[in-house]
Amino acid sequence: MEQPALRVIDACKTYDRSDHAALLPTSFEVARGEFVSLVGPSGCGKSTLLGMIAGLLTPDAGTIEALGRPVTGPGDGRAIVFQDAALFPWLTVLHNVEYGLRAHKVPKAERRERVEDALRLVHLDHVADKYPYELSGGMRQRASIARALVMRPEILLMDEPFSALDAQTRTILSDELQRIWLETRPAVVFVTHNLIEAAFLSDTVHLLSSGPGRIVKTYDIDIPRPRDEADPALLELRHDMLDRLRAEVDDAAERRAQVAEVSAL
Amino acid sequence: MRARRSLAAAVAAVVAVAAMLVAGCGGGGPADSVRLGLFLNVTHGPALIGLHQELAKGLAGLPVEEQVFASGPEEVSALLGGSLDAGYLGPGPYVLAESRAPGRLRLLAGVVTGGQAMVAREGSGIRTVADLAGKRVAVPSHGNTQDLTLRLLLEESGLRASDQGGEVEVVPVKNPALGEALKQDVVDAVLAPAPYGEKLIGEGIAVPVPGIDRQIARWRIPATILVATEEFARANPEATAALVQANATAVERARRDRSAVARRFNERLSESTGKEIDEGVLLASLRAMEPTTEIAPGAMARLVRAAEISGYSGGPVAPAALGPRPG
Amino acid sequence: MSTAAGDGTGGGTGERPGTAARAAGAVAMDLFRKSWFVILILVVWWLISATGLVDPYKLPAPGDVLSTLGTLFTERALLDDLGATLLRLVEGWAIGVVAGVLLGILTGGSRFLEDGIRPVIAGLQAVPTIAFLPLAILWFGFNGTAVLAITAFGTFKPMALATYGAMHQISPTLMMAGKALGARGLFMQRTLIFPAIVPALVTGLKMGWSFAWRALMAAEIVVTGAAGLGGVLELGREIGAIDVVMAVILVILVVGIVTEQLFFTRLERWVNQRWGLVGAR
Repeated sequence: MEQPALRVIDACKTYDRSDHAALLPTSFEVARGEFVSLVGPSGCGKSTLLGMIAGLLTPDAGTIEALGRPVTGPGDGRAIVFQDAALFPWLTVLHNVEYGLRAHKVPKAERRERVEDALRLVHLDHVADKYPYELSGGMRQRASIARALVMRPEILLMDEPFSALDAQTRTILSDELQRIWLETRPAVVFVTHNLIEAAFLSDTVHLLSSGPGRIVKTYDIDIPRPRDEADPALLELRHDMLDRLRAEVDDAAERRAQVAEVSAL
Repeated sequence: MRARRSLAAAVAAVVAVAAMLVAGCGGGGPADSVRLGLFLNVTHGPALIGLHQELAKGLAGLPVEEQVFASGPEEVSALLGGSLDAGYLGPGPYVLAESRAPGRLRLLAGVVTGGQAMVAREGSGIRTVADLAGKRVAVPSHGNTQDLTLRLLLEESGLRASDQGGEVEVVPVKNPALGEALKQDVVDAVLAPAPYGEKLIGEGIAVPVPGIDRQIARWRIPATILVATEEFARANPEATAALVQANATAVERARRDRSAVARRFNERLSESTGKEIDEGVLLASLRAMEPTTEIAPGAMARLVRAAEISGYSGGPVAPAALGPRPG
Repeated sequence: MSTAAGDGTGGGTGERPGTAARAAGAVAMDLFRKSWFVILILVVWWLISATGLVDPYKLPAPGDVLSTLGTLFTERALLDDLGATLLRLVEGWAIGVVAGVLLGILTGGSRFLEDGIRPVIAGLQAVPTIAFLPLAILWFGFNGTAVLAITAFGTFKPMALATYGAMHQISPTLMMAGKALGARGLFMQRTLIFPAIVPALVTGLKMGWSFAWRALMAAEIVVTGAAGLGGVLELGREIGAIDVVMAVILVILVVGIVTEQLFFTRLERWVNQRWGLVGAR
């Protein structure tokens, strides 16, 4: 059987002095070329989990393997797209996209070619020489995606990449991401709190709940691609996930109430 | 509305500062102490021994508060600004003060005459004033007694300072930096106040230039004089007379016993700085100066002339200001 | 956006009558906004002198100070002094800036190095730079080099501290983005950390400039002989010429205002725009 792109085994994180949400021991796998979403309310530990996969956070226990190697730091076949794009404001779009290649000492001619390809892929070739402050939020996020894709990652990590955008832009970019993914086929771990977005994009959705964070349900979605956001199957799926989340929230509230009662005695 | 209120606040602040400036000019009644300025210099020796004895008893019932200064301009500013009643200082700063704020100070008496020496780097070939042409000569500061004396020397020999378009470069160098300035070849010679000339000679950094020293000695230029503010002298005639008397007594004692001056000076210096100056150097410099309450006729007028030719003067100085007016 | 473009862009449209007049009015308003306090001080100063409430040797009249300034320029070649001082200032400042920023960047990434070095520099910052002048004279000689060294050192300390401070404010996301893209070591310092701290450094540059001024003036007062504003300032003090002192202060003040308006404000505006600090919000 083919080795998975990513293997998370009992990774966990408790509260520390940083503001990362706690996460109970969690395990899952991502196959090569698979699109996986981690969905849940804020505080469910989904970003913590992504940070550990990216190699930017260290799990307290458990292991994470990417492409068969244990994760010890960032890079190494994994690229990441942040919520606020995190473009370097002093560089043009072109130089932002080129940055990772320079860091890896890719020869100049190859750099230029790969940057052009990446920009074309996200439809930003016309603004290559603009600075981030001259771009709309959506364009910034595209540039950020190009900056990650130019590294030709086998695993693409995306941390709520569309959550700062308006609804319309978000829909357009979701569509775009589906197209780009179908063209390039990296394995994707996509963190979001938007259920429809997750259902629309993913092969697999892990639903997480908070207090403390853990995976409460996993959905396999085999609706054929390219998909349409208005697909009734997607809406139904969303409904189901929402119900599940509501139940979790009620449970959590009940648990808290019980704790309060007990401690009041 | 808001801008208008802040504007009003700004105007009020500026006016308040101005009012403080104006109010600071009051005063003029009888004093309840005598605030006396001086330097910890060997040329202020009589003041130092005087403060130890005569002045310590007070002046006409008023206690004496001493304030030590490091340079003439600050002491003059303190006198003119009303934070000092009387002071020992060099004649250079006094002459310049009279040229800019005439009649504010009153010359009471002489204290020490002499107390400056020309020394040169060995091998500089400087023996006479004429040899200074094309050379660089250090003085402690612009407009001080040594600077003015140097300009008199140059004028007499038909030379001029470089800032007047002449051939002798006059470089102000603070006393403690004199040794380095000579060693690093920044200057060729120094007209130094006592005891720095003797000190440089003692350390083997410079050699004396007796030819020029003799020429300076002819003019009997004071090293230290005693002044009071006109305001204080008028409002406190008894204390002023007592100050003149105490100064005369101290000067007389300094004249009789030079080693007492050297001892007192080193005691006082070590109280303030924890250091002492070599006794031999001190005595050598004390031999080259004369404690006297007299001010040689013409000496002050010469300094006025020097201030004028060097462009330091702020205006004419009344002849009456050039001699002691103790009463 | 509109605040940044406020003072220069009105000139393009001159077709409609009244537009030019309005533009001229705007320029006049702008000029007034920037100069009313100066005018206020001048008026009060002039009033005090004119009424004779304060002795002229304590506060010379504005006119007298201006005429002294004229004399200084014509007879004492104050322009040479100004030129010499500005040259030393720019050189010393530049050396201090480069040294301070380099030290900050190279050691600020390591807790161990920063914890050792930063308190020493912060402590030295409390020592007036001029206290090191005797040492500088022994090491570099009684000459302009010692003055330059003091000026550079006076700039170096606040610049190093500003660099440390700026490095602590780099957005963690940017650092993570850089690391995830493979940036390491010197490459990271050069291409990420340095550019990221530039906006904060601009503030440091201004502070360094004022520290450079202070150190330079204090040093020029002692190490005389060469041309320089400090020497003229000291001359005025030594001969008790308050008008000369005030004239030199006026020159320093004008240079300060001009560099602030023509250089630092523009630099700040450019950096803020380029680094997206205006556009992003």
